[in-house]
Amino acid sequence: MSEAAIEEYGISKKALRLLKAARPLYKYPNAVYWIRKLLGDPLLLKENNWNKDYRFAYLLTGGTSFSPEDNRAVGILLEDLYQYLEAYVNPSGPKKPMIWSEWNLSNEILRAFDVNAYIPETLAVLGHLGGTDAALKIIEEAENAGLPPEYCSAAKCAVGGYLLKESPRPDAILTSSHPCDSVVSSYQALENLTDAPMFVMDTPYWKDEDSYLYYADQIYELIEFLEKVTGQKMDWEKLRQVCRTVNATNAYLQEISEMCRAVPAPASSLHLLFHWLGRMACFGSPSGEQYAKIMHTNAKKRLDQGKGYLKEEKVRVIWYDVPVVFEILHPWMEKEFGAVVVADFIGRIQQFQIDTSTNQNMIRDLAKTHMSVTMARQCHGPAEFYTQELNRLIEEYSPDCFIFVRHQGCKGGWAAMKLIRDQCQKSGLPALFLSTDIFDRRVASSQLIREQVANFFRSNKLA
Amino acid sequence: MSTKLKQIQEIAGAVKNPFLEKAMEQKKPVMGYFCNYVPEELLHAAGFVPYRMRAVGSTGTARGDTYFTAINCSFVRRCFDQVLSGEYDFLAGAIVLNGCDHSRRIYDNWRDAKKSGLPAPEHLFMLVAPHVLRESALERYEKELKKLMQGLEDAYGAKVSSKALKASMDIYQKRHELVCQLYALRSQKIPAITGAEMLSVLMAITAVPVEDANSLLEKLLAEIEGRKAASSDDIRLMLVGGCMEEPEHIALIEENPAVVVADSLCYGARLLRPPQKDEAKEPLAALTRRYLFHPSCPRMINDFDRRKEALFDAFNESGADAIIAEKLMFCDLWGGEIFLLRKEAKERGIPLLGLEREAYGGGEGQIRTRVQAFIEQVQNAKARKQQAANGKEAS
Repeated sequence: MSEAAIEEYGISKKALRLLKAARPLYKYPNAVYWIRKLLGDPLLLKENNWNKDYRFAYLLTGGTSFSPEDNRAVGILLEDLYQYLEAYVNPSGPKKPMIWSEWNLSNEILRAFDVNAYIPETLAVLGHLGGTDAALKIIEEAENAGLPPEYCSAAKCAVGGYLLKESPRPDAILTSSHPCDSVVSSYQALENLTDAPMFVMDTPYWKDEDSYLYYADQIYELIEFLEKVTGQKMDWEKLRQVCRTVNATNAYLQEISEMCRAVPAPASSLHLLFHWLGRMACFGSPSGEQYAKIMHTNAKKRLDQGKGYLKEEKVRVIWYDVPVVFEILHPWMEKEFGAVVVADFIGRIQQFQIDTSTNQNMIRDLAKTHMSVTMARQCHGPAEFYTQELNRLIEEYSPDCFIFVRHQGCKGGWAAMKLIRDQCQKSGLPALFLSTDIFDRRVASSQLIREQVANFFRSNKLA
Repeated sequence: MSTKLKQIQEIAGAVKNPFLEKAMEQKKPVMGYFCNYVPEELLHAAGFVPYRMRAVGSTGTARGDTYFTAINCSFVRRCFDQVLSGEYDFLAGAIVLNGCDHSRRIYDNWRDAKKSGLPAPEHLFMLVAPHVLRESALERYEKELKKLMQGLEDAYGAKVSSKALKASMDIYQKRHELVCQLYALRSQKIPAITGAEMLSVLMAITAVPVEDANSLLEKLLAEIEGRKAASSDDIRLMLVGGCMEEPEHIALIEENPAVVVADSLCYGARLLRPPQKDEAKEPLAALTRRYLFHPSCPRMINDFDRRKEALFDAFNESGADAIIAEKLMFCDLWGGEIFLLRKEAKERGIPLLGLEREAYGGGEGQIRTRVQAFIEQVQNAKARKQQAANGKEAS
């Protein structure tokens, strides 16, 4: 694409406009609820020229399933996402260092500095807020520049976003060796293209005390690196406060994850998935905690009343893979089949609490939490990290079936496919292995995916 | 053809070879390993014959595909196919490394296969090498090597003393020096050995006891001195990539008026682990540094600049005219590396051809055409450059 043809932050600006329009609306969560109910089906069922610019946002925020109280929480997190985008699209006030951070890293440390954090892969999700073709445009830009097509589409979005001038220029980059080769490789490309200094967390393969200590030592090195590139001193008290917020947030979210073991489930993994997006962009923020708290209160209330998230829960799904972000299927599955995703791969939280009593303990426990973040937890290490968690879900969540996405970028997952299939087979439950991608709609169309899911439910007499 | 080269090609062309069989008759256990970050010296000091795992002679992926899928690396699928066929039943054990997302799963899948009664050695190990170069990673890597040593001792009673390790390092240092001599013969004005032959040599020496490897190398060096394996008009190529173990593939490239004079391959320059300047006296610490800081591959995240400089230095020193950079399908690591190398080569005005292929996967016709066209391009550019230089001289 020629230089002249590129509008800086074109996609982000569009997403920002949508968030700007949605913000005042969410001050009235009841109204949002009824508007959604009224508009529901046309938005839900099929993309058309009329709805393509905001259908994604509608699906991501629960379609017609979220209650007015749930919508209140959504509004809070939308505000965070708005601020995140605004910080680099329309920066105001004194200039702060712009630090890029890979999407599977936890950003507590960054929040303890006076910097702007930017997560390159979030463009793959937030880009959809600017219309469903946005992510594809970014992916194609990366491929046209010569990036390997087999890269994870998130990695392509990270590089393509920079090439398309959707990303702010970084003053420094933070990345890690997890969860996959696409990250390992794409950040070398980003370092080279941006010429920014980069720090790499070398994620240990195992999860034992020795590995946590190795990771903790690297956090100290990271702090040193950040102090050098920003010219600031790390604010330990600020970090302590962030860690307390993270502890509270994780506790709420983890309990929501656990409450979903109840039949009927008082929450859906979509509540957690939406927080995953917020988490990437604004982890450790008070709004994130507030979102988690409200969602937790709502779920707990339903649990205490013996009510489910759905009026009539018919199918309990374990979605143990990445979601299909370009076509969030949850609201459709809920409405069409009474199917609720009770546990998933990305949104489910399994975390440690961080001991904030001393700086040393805080860093030690941050190492543990970083290595337990979604994807770092399951993908980096032996296959047991993946299969043992799946096994726990099978035992604890009373599932009726499994859905796997077989995201083409996840080579490590594909290489363990027999082990996963064996586990599904052992459980005696039906499993659907979709062949699609997390962000790239060229791999399989929305219609095809829905057909496969519908046929799966019907042929297994689940619906 | 040199008799030693012929013998070497026979060794490289099969899973087992007479040297290995002789060692096994002498009750020397053979330890299979994947990747260049597994120190052969350490295994040798523990009494094993280190054997680099390969897919040579592979006829398909049917068994391998029961565990891996069509979007996994063809080398891994083929090698694992042979594992499940029992072709590696002579191994006393095997060490898998977290080299990439495909190969690291061999450790998981092989353990599972073993539980199902499929062919597997008694002990399987996972060695974890850091993905970064820095002092703290060095410490971590040394710890991992100590864990591996402990594992070998627990499983086989194979204790490694500092003295034994030092002795093994000396033997491997000799191999390193002999290979360097071979590299020098390859990069001279008229190479004494072709790229295809070189690959066979490097495959052979990683499949036999190191003592035999050194003897083979000495004899080979004596035999090929003064040999002219190419023409002075041939286009001189540098070959870059990851796993490549098919000499016939390089021979296909060299069918053209071209010869490979330098490389950056797993079975290539990355086998060279020169002693490091600031290496410790204690053998394990020295070995750790040697392996972590040896020419890296794209699995090392913070080393592209050093890697790139080493690559272009080797390119310049060998007098190469162009680069062919190759990757196996579905390899993210080499896909990204070629993206970057293409950019860097362009800035330096170096012609670079990127090729994608499947291990033992055929596709000769397409590769032949692409390479042929590339060589012609390089020839023409070289001729134009020469003409321009002549014109300047005449005026």
